[in-house]
Amino acid sequence: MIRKIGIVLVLLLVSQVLHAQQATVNTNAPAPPKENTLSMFVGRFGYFLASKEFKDIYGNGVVFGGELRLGGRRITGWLEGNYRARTGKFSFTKEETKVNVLAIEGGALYKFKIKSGNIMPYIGAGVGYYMYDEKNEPIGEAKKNQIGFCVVGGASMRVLKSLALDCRIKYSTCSMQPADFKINIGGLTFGLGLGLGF
Amino acid sequence: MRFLATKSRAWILFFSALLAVLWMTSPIQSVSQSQKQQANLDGLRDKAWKEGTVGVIVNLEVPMIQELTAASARFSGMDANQAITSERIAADNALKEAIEYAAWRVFMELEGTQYTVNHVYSYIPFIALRVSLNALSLLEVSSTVLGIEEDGLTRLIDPVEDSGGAKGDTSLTDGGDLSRPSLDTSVDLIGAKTAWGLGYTGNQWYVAILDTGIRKTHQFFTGKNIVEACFSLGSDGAAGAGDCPNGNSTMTGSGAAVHYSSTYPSYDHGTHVSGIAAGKYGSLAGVAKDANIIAVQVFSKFYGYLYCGSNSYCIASWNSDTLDAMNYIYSIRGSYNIAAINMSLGGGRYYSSCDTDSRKSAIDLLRSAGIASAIATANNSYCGSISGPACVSTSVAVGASTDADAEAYFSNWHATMQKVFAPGSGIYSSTGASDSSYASWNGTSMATPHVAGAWALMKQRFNGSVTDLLNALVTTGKSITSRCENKSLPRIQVDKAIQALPAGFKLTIQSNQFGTTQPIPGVYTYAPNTQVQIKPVPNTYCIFINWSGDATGSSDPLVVTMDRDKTVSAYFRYIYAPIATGRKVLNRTFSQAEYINILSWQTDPVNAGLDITLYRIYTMSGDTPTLLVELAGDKTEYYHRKVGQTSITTYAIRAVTSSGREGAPALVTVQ
Repeated sequence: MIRKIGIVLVLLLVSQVLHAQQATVNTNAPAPPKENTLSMFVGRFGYFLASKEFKDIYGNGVVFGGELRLGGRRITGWLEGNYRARTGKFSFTKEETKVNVLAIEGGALYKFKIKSGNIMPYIGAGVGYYMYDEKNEPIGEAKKNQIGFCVVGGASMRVLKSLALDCRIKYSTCSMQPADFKINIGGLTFGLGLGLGF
Repeated sequence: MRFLATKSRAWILFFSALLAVLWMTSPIQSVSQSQKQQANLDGLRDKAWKEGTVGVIVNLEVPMIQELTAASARFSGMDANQAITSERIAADNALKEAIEYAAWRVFMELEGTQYTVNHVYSYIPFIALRVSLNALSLLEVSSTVLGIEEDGLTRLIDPVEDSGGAKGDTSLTDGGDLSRPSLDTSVDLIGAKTAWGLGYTGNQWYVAILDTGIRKTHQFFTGKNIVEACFSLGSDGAAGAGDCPNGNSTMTGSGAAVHYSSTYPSYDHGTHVSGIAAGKYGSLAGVAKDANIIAVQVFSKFYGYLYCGSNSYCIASWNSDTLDAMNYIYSIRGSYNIAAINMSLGGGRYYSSCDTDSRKSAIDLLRSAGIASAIATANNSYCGSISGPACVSTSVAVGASTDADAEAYFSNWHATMQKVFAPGSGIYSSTGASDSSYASWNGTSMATPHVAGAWALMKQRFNGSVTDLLNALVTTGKSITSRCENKSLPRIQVDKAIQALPAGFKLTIQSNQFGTTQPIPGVYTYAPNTQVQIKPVPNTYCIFINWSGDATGSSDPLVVTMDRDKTVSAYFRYIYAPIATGRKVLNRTFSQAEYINILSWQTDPVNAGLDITLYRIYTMSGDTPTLLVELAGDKTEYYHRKVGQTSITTYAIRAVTSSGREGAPALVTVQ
């Protein structure tokens, strides 16, 4: 846990250093075009690539969520909620089992400035609160909430004055033992979102 | 000195009196005196003292002897099938083991003393020993011993000589034209020929002759099955070397009942007696002309004046050998249909019943299995007394009559101990001189096999109890008044006795090895139109299928109306265990898991045709099953869920028929 927090802090520190260097280098440069959107709400969906154990039972699948970005030109605060629900089969008896994962994630994004002012790549890291609920007839219900971590990387592309298209990859990790096995409910998510600046 | 001597005598007298009082009042003595028959103990002690040892027959205290005997004697007549044989052997063994245990206790008590075990009887609570005085003293006080009697000698009842003739008036060989009126006459006189005409010839029945053996190659026994045995301790009266053909004191099988050489008077007595009971050759025939013979040689050879008087050689039977012979006859009752035993031997003079004789136990045992003991009253011309063991109240004591229906002058008479008369004068039958020799002899020995043979005829008609058949003989007999007193007894008329017996029909019940019936398989006789209810009783893991023979279907119980002889067979099948396997598997979701014991099975092909409607699965805890689940008969797999990962469970899977019968379990252990 301490190691993961350390990684997040290092990432934030690196982003601040880069930001400072850019500011120094560009002191005498012409002023960049003004960004129209510093904060935005992003509605997104994604495709979740789970661990092998999860995939064996439930397979991969779609994730829905919403994200709120608040902040400055380079460092942005980020808060997201996402939800995924899957129906799967027991490994031997092939009876039905259902799982729901609700995640609240938040952290900081560092935005890179490139020549094309309409595209803004970013990286970020954060923590998450993950709520796991698995239910089935033969065994019953297994529930557990746990804190995990995530890192993201992606790019926003402005398509209109206050509308941006956002692509990103997120990797999350959250280990817990709600029942018989220790599991990691995180994974890799390819997401596509539509952001509305404000 | 004189004073001292007087004083010493007084002290001796005082202590003697004290010892006598203590001895008489001691508990052991009280018990033994009150319970044991010790009238002859003084004589036994004296004999043991003088001769070093004495032969004794010891009556044992055997717990539950009556119940065990009753359970064993329930099996009378030939075993109907293997299942009955097994049941009979089990009942017989239980009786045998109880007796052997009691015998073992006595032997433990005799340890350190001199004794020889002559016989341990399997079915009567007696042992025969040759004991020293010390051993005898221990027997007297043993709590396992109920009584002690001397192993006495019983003489052959020699045929009575007619004036001028040896044994009888004729000693002839079958020369063709020689008249053979005597046996013809006597057989006809008692109605045997009429009985033959009615179809009763003794066929399939056996008469046991406990005598001097048999010349089985004699023409009179042509075509007969002759079962042989020998019990003969020899003149020393001790087990080990004996007078049987094999040199031992017991022998069974072919050649066991070969009679002695002609050196011994009446050596061929058994051959003559056997011929009267069941001989047949040409036109001459004994009473049960188609019956078979069990010849048992029970006599030992003796030499010298002490035993034989003026004869150099003689034969006599140890009572313990006779007992062993009777014990043997009982032991083979499941293999042969035995109608009666014939004992043309006797000794002593009894004015009243001799029911303390050890041979009564054997007579009663045989009687309980439906086998009569026809015994000669002997030829001493006694009035009001007869010899033993005819004096045993439950024997069929036979006196001799003449062809003119008068009491033979030599026949011992007692109005109540004797039961019947039969012809015993001038009876022509086979002898031991050659395979074709015959002779006419007189005696109660000759009268007795008339009754034994008659018994086979009656048994063929009605397989009833000894009481039933004796009652028929007595009530239908022709009355003969004794020469001794104005009292009479019946001379047997077997044809009339047969007609007086219930004109029943035979019901033969059979079953295979997978079940039995109630009543148990066997041959039963029922009055006409009796409705007999038979219930099939399958063994464990077996099922009753159907009836065959004179009944069909699968009625339970079956009701058979006895309007003719019938045979009914109950057919049972074994319900074999399914062929089963088991394994443990993990059944999981992402975070949850259970272990499942999977049981799979298929019906054993040999169960084809059985109506398997259910499978029952039990978990086993040791030998105790607990029902886990019942599944339809078409299921072949069961998941026992949520078992422990490391648990070891043993299951019993049983097929269940539509009638609810459970089959054998298939035991499967899953770990």
